[in-house]
Amino acid sequence: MNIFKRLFKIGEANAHSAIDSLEDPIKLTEQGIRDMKKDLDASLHSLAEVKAMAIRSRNEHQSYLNKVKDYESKAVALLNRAERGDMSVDEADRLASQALVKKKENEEHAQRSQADRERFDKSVAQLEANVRELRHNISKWENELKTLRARVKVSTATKKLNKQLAQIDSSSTVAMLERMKDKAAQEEALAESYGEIANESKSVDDEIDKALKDSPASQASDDLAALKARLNRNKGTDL
Amino acid sequence: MGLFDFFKKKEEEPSYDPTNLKLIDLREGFILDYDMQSWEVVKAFEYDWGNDYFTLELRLDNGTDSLHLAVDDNDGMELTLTKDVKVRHLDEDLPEYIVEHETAPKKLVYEGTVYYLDEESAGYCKEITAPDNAWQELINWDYYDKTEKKHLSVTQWGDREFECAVGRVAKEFEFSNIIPGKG
Repeated sequence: MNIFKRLFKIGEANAHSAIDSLEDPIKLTEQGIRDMKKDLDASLHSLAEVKAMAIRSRNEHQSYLNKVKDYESKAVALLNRAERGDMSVDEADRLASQALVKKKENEEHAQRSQADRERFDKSVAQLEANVRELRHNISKWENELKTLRARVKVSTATKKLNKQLAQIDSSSTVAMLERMKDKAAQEEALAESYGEIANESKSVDDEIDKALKDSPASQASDDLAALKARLNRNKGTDL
Repeated sequence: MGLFDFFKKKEEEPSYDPTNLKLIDLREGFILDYDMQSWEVVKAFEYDWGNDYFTLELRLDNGTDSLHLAVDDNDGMELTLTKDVKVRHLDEDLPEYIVEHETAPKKLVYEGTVYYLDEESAGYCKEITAPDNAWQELINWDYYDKTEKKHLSVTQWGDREFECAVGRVAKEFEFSNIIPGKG
């Protein structure tokens, strides 16, 4: 395989892969069912046309049969007239034989229309079988679609749940809560750092004053000195 | 489906569901089964009775016989199946009576059955495929017998043109196997 063929194959494979990922099974099944309904509609149109032709051939057949009867009764009437002497026998025979020719013609037409009708009836039976098959397939796929919809719903819900449980979805609630926890920890660390910086920025005198002021020992010695001074003063008063 | 099928001109979707065809979907060229025979819809008419009230009338032909099927789907399905009758056969004085009184009589008798006037309606009618300016004005009188199973209608078109049809009330289940024609 030359290099261009291989490159083309790679491109082809990637294009197929991209299209595969775009295929939504529900939408494509719905489209498939719509296409089958179009096929059914076309088959029904053909069936209607053939049935209409069968109806017309029945009509034709009936009208030819009526004509056959009509020409026969005309031939009989002509012969009766000749018999009664209302017209010449030759003329009656001539017209009666013409009527019989017409009768024969119409018999042939009646036979043809009968054959047409039988042929149309056969076609109707065949088309009806096709229509039944298409209807069956449409109904089968409509049921499949219902199942498919349910399966997709269940799998989507399960996928979402599993993603949440596995905490791999950055947009999930768990991930958000984790982010919030991190943020709070960051705030605490920041507050602590500011506290440390504030302590470091005090002067040496401040520290000494604070140490002296806050020391419990120095407070105690102050208190002791005050007590001693008070006792000495009392002594002086007693003397 | 090929990739380029997407760019093909989209065919017009039919107004009916081919898997579930109903009487109200019937149009010229459609076929349906009734009384163990196939009938072709040779004409389809719509009637406008005002206030958005429309009904459908179909002329059915099975090759040897013709029928009118009236479909009223406004308040539950109401169907009547009738055959044309010459007005003079029904009542030879009927046209004169209607012209003189400007309404039809309250009772009519045909082949021994007494029909009672049920409703007088004025409206417009046209073939479904005809343009909107083809509407024709009409007045219709509907009659039923005592059992309300037999039906008779008298229709006046213009000043002195009358049509009459006699038949019966039909049920939806009597019709089956509706097949769409070219329409």
